[in-house]
Amino acid sequence: MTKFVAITMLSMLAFFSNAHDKSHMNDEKQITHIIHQIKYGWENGDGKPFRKHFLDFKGARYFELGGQNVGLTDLVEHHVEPEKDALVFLNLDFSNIQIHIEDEFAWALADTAVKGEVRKSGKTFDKTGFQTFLFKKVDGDWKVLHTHSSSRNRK
Amino acid sequence: MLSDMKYLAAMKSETLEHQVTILGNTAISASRSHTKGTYKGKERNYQGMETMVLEKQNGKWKIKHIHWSH
Repeated sequence: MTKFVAITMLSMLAFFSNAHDKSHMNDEKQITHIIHQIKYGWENGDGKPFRKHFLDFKGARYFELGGQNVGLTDLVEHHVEPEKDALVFLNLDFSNIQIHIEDEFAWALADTAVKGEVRKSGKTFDKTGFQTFLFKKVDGDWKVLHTHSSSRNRK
Repeated sequence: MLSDMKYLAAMKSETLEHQVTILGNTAISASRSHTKGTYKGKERNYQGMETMVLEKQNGKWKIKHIHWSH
């Protein structure tokens, strides 16, 4: 009887540990997918991934270098979408993505490489840097709370 | 870090906005500041942004991540 109880308990422990690992992997996959969607959004001047994956709340702020967008609408309408016409092209790469998940909160760090050309001036830029993403799980889906990016001219 | 400390000692920095959000044992701090001063003969005047992630450990908040930029 004791052996039976011990085997049952060990099986349950293995099951829940496995379930937790799978859940953790799914969280990481979802967050990685969101980061790739953000890349797509920036490269194409498309606000849709931001509206889908960002939590729209009063007080939301998104930092880039020494500036910020206040609110999701400000980010999409005054930053993401205008870049479609302002830039000839934009290539944005996120690499070395590190994701940290803590219950209903997660944060991710990425190395960034961004290249582009300004339509009006013809100037090109080639920068490297970092980005911080902060997430919160809302009704089972990860949503971006805040982003902070910074970069400098490639050395 | 040491050169950053020397630099900041020569600057005057004012916090313009500071927002803290607490999610259980995690906190997010997002702030905007204005920094002004002269360092090594160069005048500096700029706005900076800071994001921090903190975790409560044994009743005390500890910084896990900082991202500064200007």
